[in-house]
Amino acid sequence: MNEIQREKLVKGLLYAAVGLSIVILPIIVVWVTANGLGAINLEFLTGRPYRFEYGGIYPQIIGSVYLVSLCTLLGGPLGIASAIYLAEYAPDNVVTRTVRFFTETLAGMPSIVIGLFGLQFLVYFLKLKTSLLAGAVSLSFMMLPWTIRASEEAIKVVPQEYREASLAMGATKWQTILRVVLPAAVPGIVTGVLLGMGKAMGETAVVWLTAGSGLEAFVPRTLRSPTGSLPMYIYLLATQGHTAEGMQNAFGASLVLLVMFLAMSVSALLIRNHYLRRLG
Amino acid sequence: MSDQNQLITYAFVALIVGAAVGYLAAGPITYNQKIQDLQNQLAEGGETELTGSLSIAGSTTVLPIAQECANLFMEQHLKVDVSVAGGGSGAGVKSAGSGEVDIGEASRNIKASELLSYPDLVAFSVAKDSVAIIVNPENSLSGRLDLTLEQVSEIFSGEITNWNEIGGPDHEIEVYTREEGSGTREVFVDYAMDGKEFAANAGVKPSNGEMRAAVASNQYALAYVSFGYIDDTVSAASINGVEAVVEKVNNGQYPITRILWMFTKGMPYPLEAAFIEYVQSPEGQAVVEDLGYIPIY
Amino acid sequence: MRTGDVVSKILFLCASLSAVIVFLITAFLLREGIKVLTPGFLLGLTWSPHRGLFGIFPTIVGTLCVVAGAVVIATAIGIPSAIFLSEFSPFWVRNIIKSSVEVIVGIPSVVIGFFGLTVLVPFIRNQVGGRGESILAGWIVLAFMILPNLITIAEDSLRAVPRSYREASLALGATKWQTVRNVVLPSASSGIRAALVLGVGRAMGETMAVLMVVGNPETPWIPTGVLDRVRMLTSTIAIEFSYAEWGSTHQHALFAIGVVLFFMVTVLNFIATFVIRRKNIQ
Repeated sequence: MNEIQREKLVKGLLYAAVGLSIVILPIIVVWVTANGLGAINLEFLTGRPYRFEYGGIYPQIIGSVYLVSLCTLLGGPLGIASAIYLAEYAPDNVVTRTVRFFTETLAGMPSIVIGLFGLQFLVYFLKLKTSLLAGAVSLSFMMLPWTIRASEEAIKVVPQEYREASLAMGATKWQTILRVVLPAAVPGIVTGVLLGMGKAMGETAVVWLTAGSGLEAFVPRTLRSPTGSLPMYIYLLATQGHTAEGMQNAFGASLVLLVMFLAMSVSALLIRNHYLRRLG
Repeated sequence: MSDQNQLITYAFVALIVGAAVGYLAAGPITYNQKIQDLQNQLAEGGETELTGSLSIAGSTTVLPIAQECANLFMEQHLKVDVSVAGGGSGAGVKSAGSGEVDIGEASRNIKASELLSYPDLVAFSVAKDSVAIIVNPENSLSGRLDLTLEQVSEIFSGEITNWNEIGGPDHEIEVYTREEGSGTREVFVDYAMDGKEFAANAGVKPSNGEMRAAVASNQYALAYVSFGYIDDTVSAASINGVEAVVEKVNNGQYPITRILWMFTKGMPYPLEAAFIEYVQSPEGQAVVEDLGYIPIY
Repeated sequence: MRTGDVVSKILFLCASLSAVIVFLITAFLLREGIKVLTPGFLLGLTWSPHRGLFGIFPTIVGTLCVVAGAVVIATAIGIPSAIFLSEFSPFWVRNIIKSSVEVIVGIPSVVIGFFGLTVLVPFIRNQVGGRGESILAGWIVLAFMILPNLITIAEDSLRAVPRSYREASLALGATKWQTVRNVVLPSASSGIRAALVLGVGRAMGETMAVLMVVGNPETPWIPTGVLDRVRMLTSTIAIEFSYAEWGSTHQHALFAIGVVLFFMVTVLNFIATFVIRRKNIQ
């Protein structure tokens, strides 16, 4: 086989590999949609779970929304602040490297370990009980490193000339960051936060141990109230469902979860693309 | 992008966001409206109403009873939220005893060791129940499967491994068992395992629901579940010639019987007491019977 | 200037928050699990809490089997994909695919597990054998989960190779593939190795998707075949924690598993970061 033939063969294999990689998403989406579309009707989306496998998923949808919103409120600003420090202020010394190491460690922490910690520390030790608050705080432990990574990237990408120009005009470092660097980094930060929210939406292990049974038939009224969530609902029905309607509800909930997840992730990317084109 | 296109895009996005916000807000708003209505009603009637939230966790056997009663209870007390989780009897004792949840459920009696850890548990019986061995309706033995207690222990401990040893097809008996914290498992071990250990390769399914699902989807599976979980997706075996039905448990012929419990940490608060009283009331017991369990009276 | 000082102090506190959280997690895990962390625990062959036996060796082996297979599959598909994205694709194609991969990274694991449980497990049971729940199912599902991460990091390392390297090689008359094989890949090798190591770490920590397909036998054994069912470190904690009594040896054992997991993943992360470091210094 000569070089040109080999090149063609290799290219073919590479195409095949890429094809396999990205075919996952459409397969899952099509599979969930095909099986779940039948479950989607007004009753399903506004009703409450009934006798385990029947009824609707309104409390689960709201529960997931509350959990993710609260976790973003906690993990978002803190993560952005950390990223600002790491990107703009941190000197290159042992302390900084240690902080970075811990951030990377937290990023790689298995979700079950975070759930375990949330259960032991928040639910049991701080007596928060299985609740929306415990679930959201535990989720924010996962959200924090994602936000830090994405925000740091976004800040680093801001051209050095912007900072220099601002400093040259007499602004202080903090003024520069606040008025020049951050606004330029906002699209990247927003993208990162949205992607993190999408991931948090699908987190099951953490929510399992801290937030509630998953099959709640009510919308949480206070922070201390247990809350349902879409991932728990899906897990319970997928493993224990044994009737056609139960399985269809599991698919329906999966479809809703996927739609919400895709909405957040895709809008994150559209925002980034739009602003990338603007910056040129 | 031209100005007109931008405008259209913004309008579109605003529409979607508005619809989403409307949907999300609708629930709490109509919910609050219902509460307002009820408050007006009660203000005229002069009753004090219950408020607050209850978390219940534990036995997956008691779970359907608790869930159904919770739904009915919440319809009668609109300011109360009741959350019911599974986890198994062991989880019920643990989470109630340590204060993680308000009410725990168990399908077995509380163990002495547990009373040592949590001495202030107060238990209330809410139903009677039993444990049945289930097989897939497509299995050739379904509908006529009759095992002696000895055979049961031999199968679940791995001494008998093939269906053809008990008159069925030539295939491995795919045995399933519950997790160690399960009350159903404890009861099954006490009555049917004759001191033997479960086979190492038995598949662990951590809830009644998953046990049933495993059998409902697999021709060669064998598992055990609470009576309340028997429905037409599975077929129950007889033991020693006695069918797995409520009458035979009540007259003592069926060899396994147990009481289902709900318990609280210390004497129950008014809300907890109200709920447990509801389950024990004729209305609650009608639910118990309807779901396939045995009323306590 | 004073505002700047105050601000940087506040920001430093924020940044150290992750460190505080990790420290707390480590402290709590260790405090609860340390008593059980003996050689008997790590090498013990039987896990049977009700008999007081807490040996996690089969669980560790089971976890490693599933993780290893998944990483092999993900590498076989992911590295070529990364090469394609970085070297052979036009800009717009790369953009779309990279964006899709970024989305796939976050797919809810419970949906993948659902797919595995409902489609893969019956397929394996009917077409291949055993109960369907198996190491094989775990491989496929876990490979799904780590593939996007692997592709992203590998592609980043490939793109980081300076253009001049490629141009020099092509100028000398090499084909594109020869350039990739002999010039680009070796330069990016440490980054790719880092991607693999991080993939292993990610795979070890995955809970939901594998929990639903890998079988969870009553007393796990050291697997001998691809259709064997195993327990994973993560799924053991997930299933058993809810009923292990506070203060019991069982509960301490579960925390000890958490420590083992945490330790292995952190070491892997450290190796990956160290390996990348070396590349940067080069």
